[in-house]
Amino acid sequence: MKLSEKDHNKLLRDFKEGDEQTIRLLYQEVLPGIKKYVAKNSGNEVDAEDIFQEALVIVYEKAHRNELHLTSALSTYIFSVCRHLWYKVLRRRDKVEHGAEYDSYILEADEDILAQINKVEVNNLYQKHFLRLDEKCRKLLNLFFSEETTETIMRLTGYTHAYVRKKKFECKQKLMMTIEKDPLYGELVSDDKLSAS
Amino acid sequence: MIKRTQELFEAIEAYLSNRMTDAESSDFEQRIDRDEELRNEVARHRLLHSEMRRKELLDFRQLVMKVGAEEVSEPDNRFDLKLLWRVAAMLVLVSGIALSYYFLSQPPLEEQLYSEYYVTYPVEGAWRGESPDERQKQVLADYVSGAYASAIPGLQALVTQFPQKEVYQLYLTSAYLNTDNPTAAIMQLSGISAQSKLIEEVDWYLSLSYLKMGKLEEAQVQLEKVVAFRGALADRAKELLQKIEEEQ
Repeated sequence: MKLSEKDHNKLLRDFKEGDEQTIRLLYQEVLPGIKKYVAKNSGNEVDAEDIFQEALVIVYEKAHRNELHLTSALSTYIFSVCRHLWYKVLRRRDKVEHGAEYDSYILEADEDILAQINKVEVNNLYQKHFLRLDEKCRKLLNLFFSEETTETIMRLTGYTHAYVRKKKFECKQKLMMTIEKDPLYGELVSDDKLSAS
Repeated sequence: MIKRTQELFEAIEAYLSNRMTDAESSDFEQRIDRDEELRNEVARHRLLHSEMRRKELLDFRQLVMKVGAEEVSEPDNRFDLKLLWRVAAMLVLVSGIALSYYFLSQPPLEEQLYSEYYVTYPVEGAWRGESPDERQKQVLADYVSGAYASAIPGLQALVTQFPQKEVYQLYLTSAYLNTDNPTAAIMQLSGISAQSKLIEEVDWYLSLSYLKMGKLEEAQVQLEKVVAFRGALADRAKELLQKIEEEQ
């Protein structure tokens, strides 16, 4: 089945429910266009895949809160989010030379999309670095952030009490350090966007 | 920045999850009021906990990454499977011997990738605007001409004499790597502060040093740092990371 063959409302519902087949269709039919767009604008395939993944999460977050009321196709909306994300990347990489040009583009951009990107930006920074941790750290911190007791974590991981405490500290410290080293973190701090909701 | 310890983390976590007694909580709040660094650290933990508890986004992110990995590794799975099997069988038959010979004659993956990505740390530009003395000139001349073994003692002396000039440490690192001593390179790089202006280069050369030693996991950790830095080496680091992951 192709995206265009799917009923619009069913497509949105499936996307909101995190249906794997729908995500796969979006990859197959939307990502190639984004790759071409990014390649034409000083980027490569990996850049395109990165912003595409981020765009899917941004749109999903909106859908999850029942705030996704589209006047265009889902694929068009995702493409639009990708364009905004890509300009943000370019501005970050090259702001001295092209800052003014990109700024004017952003000012003219769709307010709704920009607001949505800003909303998920902090979460993207944190969870992206979390997913880059090794499996042991991810598993341990996942249990910890889910507020499991140390005893439950010991049972599920087979670690001793002392090792759970030590390893949790090491993993959490590593996660915080990698987040804080990300240049985006510095930007978010200076824009005063880092406060817990 | 406040010194991060296990005890500090546990105190903050107990406070944020309301596991302190009223007295402990009140005492901790007084410390927060008095100590700005502690206040900021508590805010950092609160934000981390809050973002990481957005489980629905984390689950969706993982799903997107999983599908992405499959789609990228299987760019088009809509071919006729029978045809694919026939083509695959023919390819195996025809190229089996040639491939065996090719792989047997290839150096290990880490050596191939190291040769592909490693470049001696360049001197050009780094000395611009400076007036090196005769000894520095001699060390530099050895380094530039590729006489790395001769350059090493001079570079070691320069590193000791000018500890603030981190560029000397990168020359020394390259000299170690070029004389097949990645262990010394790692020791040298590990001593450079995380706040260094050259931290991107430090992490990059650390990753290559680990690669040279065949320690792929450590190399990946350093490459992830380079990618996260989003500097001039980010694209190369991303590319190298992908190649390592593809081969694992």
